[in-house]
Amino acid sequence: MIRYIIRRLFLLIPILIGTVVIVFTINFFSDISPARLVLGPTATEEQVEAKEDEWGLNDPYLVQLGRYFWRIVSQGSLGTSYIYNQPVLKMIMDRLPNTLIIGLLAATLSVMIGIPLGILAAIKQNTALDYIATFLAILCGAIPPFVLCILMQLVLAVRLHWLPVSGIRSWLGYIMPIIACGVMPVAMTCRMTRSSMLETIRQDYIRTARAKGLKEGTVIWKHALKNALIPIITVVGMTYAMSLCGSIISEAIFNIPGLGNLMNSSISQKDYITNLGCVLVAAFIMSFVTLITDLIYAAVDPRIKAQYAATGKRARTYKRKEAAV
Amino acid sequence: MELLQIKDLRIQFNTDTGIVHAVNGVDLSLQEGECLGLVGETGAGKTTTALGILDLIQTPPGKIVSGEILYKGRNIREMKPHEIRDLRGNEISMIFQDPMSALNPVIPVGHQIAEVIRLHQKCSKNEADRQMLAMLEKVRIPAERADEYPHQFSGGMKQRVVIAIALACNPKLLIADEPTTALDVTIQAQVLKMIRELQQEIHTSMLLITHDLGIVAQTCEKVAIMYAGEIVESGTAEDIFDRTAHPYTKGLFASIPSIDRKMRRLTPIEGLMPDPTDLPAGCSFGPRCPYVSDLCREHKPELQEIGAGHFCRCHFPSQKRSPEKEGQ
Repeated sequence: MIRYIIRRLFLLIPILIGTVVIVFTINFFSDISPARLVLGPTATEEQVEAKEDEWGLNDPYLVQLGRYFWRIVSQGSLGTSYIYNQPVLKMIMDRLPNTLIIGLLAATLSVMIGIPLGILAAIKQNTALDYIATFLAILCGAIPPFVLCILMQLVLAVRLHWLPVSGIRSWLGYIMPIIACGVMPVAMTCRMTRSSMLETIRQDYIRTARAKGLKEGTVIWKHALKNALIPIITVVGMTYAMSLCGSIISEAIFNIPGLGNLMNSSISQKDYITNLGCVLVAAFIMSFVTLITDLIYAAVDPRIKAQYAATGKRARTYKRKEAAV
Repeated sequence: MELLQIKDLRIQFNTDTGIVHAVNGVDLSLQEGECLGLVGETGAGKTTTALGILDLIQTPPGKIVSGEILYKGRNIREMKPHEIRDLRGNEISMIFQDPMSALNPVIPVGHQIAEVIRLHQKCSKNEADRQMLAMLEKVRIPAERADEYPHQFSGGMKQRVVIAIALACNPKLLIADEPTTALDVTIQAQVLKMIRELQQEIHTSMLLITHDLGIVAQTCEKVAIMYAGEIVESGTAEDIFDRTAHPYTKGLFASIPSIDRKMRRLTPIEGLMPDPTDLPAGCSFGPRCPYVSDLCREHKPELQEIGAGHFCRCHFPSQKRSPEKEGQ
């Protein structure tokens, strides 16, 4: 198992390198110079040229890419923002907590509502309760987040004055962004839980559990849920991964200094180096959460755990064979 | 007194294509310590009857429409849910057809056995574990494998675990629903022998559901033949095997190979079982019966006693042997 984790952590390296190469390449071929944007329209061509030289933007593709990686490995630095003249890593670290708080709470909220709602809908299949839950789930999934954000601002903030329109000066400011980020995952989690649960409670081993004389609650919680969890974990894992990377739309609408907002502004301001840093951090969070999701699979299902262990064993036997040759 | 008596049990399933009449007035009775074989082809309603006894019919779509299921004289259909739960796994337990899917894949097998012991004997975890290990030994699974999961066991071993779960609380009645169908022929005999031995060891009555008359011959004292949700013939094993009366039972015998009869081909029963959503008005075996008459097509035969304890649902029950047998 530990071997599996280590192997997966090593796999992170090519994933992150690949992400950087792709985003760097796209930025490289963009023809708008950040130097022109920083110096303004009055700057002369020479001044722009000099600034670009200072940032190393006129070097060949491979030199720039190599320099970026070298800086990460040797100094642990993601470079300095063209626009704000601050270390990119520091800018990200300043904003990341806001994104993480909102993302974590939104994803957790969706799990806490979605899973029980889905279970309830499944065990009360084809009753009013099931229809209401399914309807709510479809409704939640059908509203585009930007519409929801603006509607909430109009009703909860402008009309009723319950919550601040934007910003996070107090904890009240977090409420609307959390709801905005959590609504879509609630719908997904609820529907996945319902269908997975429905499939599980039709299985033979559930009948075996009932034939043992167990109470219906024990049958559902102990025998059905654990089996139904695998597809649910996939959805929940994705929810966490996506929420923790920040939402560009809701962070922009609610004016939250987070990762999504930084990514958004770095694109519009051609602050390529900041953009690259944001994408790198987001990719790291994404891969890390995926790894944790995979580990939870193994904890829930002994068959998957056996698979992980088996691949490790197979790899070792191959190596031994190679050594023998 | 009868341990189990089923009177006029009717079970239906409401589906999109119509009402499926799965069990249509089944009468069965089982004495203490007895072994009754319930025989019939796929879809005859054997498993549905068995699930009905434990009130495990999925409702909806299924529903027990009418009838009585008397266990020790008490009607299970009138019991409260908690009373039925006390019976399940404790006094009446069931071995399921497919061991591959009957065990929970994410719970260690030992725990699945200990669970039912703890539930019904209200004992401590240690005591339940001790009994569980003893039970594993009984079904010849090494105790150290108790912590393993079903996917680490072979089919035959899984079925032995299922047997261990069923017998863990020394039930009074064991319902074995085609316990060997999903297994290799080589393991079938072994599993069957084990069930039989354990059944005698703890003096359990058994309802053995199967489509294999060979197994019935080895195991059961009494036999009931089921067709299209009805009992068509029932009696002692001798009645059924030596004094076969119903044409369907004869057909079943004609379709089994026999060592002492020399024949090129087996004689199958022509045709298929009637559509359970649209059963014929007369005898349900009529459409496939070689001796069918107008009376059979119009009037449904009743189950009538043709010998002491030997019942047959046919207008023309014959005590004679089947034509093939007569030829010998």
